[in-house]
Amino acid sequence: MSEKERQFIVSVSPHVRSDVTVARIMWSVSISLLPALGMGLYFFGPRALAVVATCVVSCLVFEAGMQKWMGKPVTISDGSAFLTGLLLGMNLPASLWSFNPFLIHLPILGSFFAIVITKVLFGGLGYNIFNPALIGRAFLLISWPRAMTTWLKPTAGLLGMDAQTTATPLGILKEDGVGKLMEVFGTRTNLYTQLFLGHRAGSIGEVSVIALLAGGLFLLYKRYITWHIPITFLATVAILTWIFGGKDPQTGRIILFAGDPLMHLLSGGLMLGAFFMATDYVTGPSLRAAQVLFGMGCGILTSIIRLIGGFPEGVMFAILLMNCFAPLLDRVIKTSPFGTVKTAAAVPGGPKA
Amino acid sequence: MSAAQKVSYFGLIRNGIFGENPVFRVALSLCPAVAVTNTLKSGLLMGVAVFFVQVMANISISIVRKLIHARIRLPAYILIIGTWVTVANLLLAAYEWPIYKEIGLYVELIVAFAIILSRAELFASKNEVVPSFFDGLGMGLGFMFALGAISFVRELLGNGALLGYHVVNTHPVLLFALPMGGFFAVGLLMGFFNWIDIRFFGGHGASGAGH
Amino acid sequence: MNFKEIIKITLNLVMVFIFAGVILALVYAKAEPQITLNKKVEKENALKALIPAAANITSIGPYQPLEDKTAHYYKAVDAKGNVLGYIAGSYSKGYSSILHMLVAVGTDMRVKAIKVLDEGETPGLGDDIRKKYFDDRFKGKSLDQLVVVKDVDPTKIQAITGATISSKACTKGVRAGVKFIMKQYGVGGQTTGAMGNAAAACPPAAGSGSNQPLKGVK
Repeated sequence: MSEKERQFIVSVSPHVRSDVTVARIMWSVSISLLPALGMGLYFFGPRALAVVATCVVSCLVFEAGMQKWMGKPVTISDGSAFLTGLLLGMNLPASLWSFNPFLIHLPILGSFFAIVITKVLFGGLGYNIFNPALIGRAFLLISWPRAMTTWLKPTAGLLGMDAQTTATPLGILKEDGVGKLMEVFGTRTNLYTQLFLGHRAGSIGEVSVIALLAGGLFLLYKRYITWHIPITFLATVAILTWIFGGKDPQTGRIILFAGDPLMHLLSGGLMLGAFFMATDYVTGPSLRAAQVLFGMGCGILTSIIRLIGGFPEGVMFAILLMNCFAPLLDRVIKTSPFGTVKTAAAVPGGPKA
Repeated sequence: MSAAQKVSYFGLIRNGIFGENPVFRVALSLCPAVAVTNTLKSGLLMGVAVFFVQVMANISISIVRKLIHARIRLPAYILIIGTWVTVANLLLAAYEWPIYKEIGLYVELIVAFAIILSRAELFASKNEVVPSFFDGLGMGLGFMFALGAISFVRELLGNGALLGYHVVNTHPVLLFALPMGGFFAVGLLMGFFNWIDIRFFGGHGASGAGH
Repeated sequence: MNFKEIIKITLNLVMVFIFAGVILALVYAKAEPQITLNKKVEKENALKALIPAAANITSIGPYQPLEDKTAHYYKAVDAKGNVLGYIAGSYSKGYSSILHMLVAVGTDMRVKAIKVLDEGETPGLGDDIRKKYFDDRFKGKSLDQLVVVKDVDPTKIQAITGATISSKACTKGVRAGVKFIMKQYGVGGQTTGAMGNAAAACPPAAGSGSNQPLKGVK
């Protein structure tokens, strides 16, 4: 039985395992992101639209331009560049657009890094090691940390043009602790509600948990993604932040089992990352057990960065780091099936360790 | 030996800078290419220190090449290289104190640079003093050129400056000033020089470099 | 390996050692005095830059601003022998490195100047603690004013944008230095003459003279 399964597992990317085409998946994922994008536009106004549109257009232009220049067939209609641009734009703060012609270069430069350096130079779709949108964001965050951590205050109105800035909930938690967070949001219920609906500072696409969940459930229902990565990712973060997230406000020492897992689950880019970016076919593992390990690894790294790292949010770096391990996880799982004790003799014809 | 008769001295120098550039083509000594290239000044000075050690080591190893027993040639070469590295380090500390403070730690590491030992083993131990001198000259210049190019890109993009003077008045790409920017700069420049080789000189890129 | 080879190898190594030794000895003899001089001049210049009016800066002794780290502290006097101020070396843990700095304290126990000697903070962000604009924020501050705030506040230490951790670490190191000097030489000044000098050197800061309890001192 396992012998038979083994023969049909395709572990070299891209992993097209049914008649569903690449283009169909890419466009479906893009559509499933629309509710979250809509919420982002609602809270952050036309600036958000400008940032996302710049990213999408420049990703398409860079991909088409590079493919033309290298003499390859132009494949922008498969939607992968569109999706990269959409995800990159949704991962940026709306404040990057400030109606100043000299500042629009950040989304464009991020798209350049995402498409040209992360994807095309590695061989195009299916050969990139890292998630292009996340590399684009990491590049921007590291190169322009001030601009990338200036968050607009959500104004709940399509025409909100005033540019008040504020800190993200996780930023407040890291800098000033839980007390300050409660001061800002009032009660814990209010905090959860605001986080769930998306009325908070953050990247354009990450704020509204309810919209992201809707998109994620749509993908699960259509079976474009499986539960393995997102659920293990979320569960690991919840468990670790519950155990190690509590802090004594006076001494700053960790109190075990006193964390606030719900707050950690709802805040930051966790939902966006778990459902839409860790599940990328190209840069994640393809075997089920490997996906579980991948999700756990993402969760552990995210919790470590959030609780003791220098950055308030760690989803992006966690996924990128686990991207490196994806091929390795697939190999490890393949040579010794998860949870079983088998000698090499018991798997005749199996790959040699 | 034969290499000296076939290749002109100018050819040896050109080989060091382009054909077998230590960093871009042979991909040796990448550690300093990443570590000390965040400003043009430190990159060039590191290049000068390596240049000095490479030339002196090549000359002295070529002189003693027939006296050294084959079994202990590597320890003997390392000793000779180490001597010249210490000399370079002491001279820097005595006469260029501010620069020594910046790159002194890395100058001491030159003793372990693969490029110097590899030229000693591959060239100086088989050739007369004069060709060895020119080979050292070429390799040293090639290394200096590579570090200069990398640090030029990194200081310009990462600090918007060159040799400490501001030239670009905008927010620089901080990534290139950080250590990880070194990896990006080395990789992109390596690709760029490969592309030039393939596109304009009919080469085969790094796979066709060297031997 | 026969006996002849062993002899040859031995002679080879001895020869290389002797030549290397001779070269190194010659270079070292020439370079060593210069290196010692360089180190001395560097330290003196750094101390002198903090209290330019001082004619003589003498080391008093070591102390420990941080566990496992020993710094020295100094007394600065002018040509007539009046005490101008004190300088304490200090260390503190930064974002990605240990900061090493010098803190000059006037006889009125206010910071005269600071200098960060060594750090490995993020280039372009945290390493701004070396820059003049940030170091100037410490001038004239007393111990209870050495508190990092995020907004513009000339009576406190305004953090570097995007580098709060480095700013806090730097301030912590300065606090350690000031605290130590206060412990050694008391909160008040020593002589009126010295007080006058120190007051002239640092701008009057708001809240001076107020006898607030030292908030935030753990």
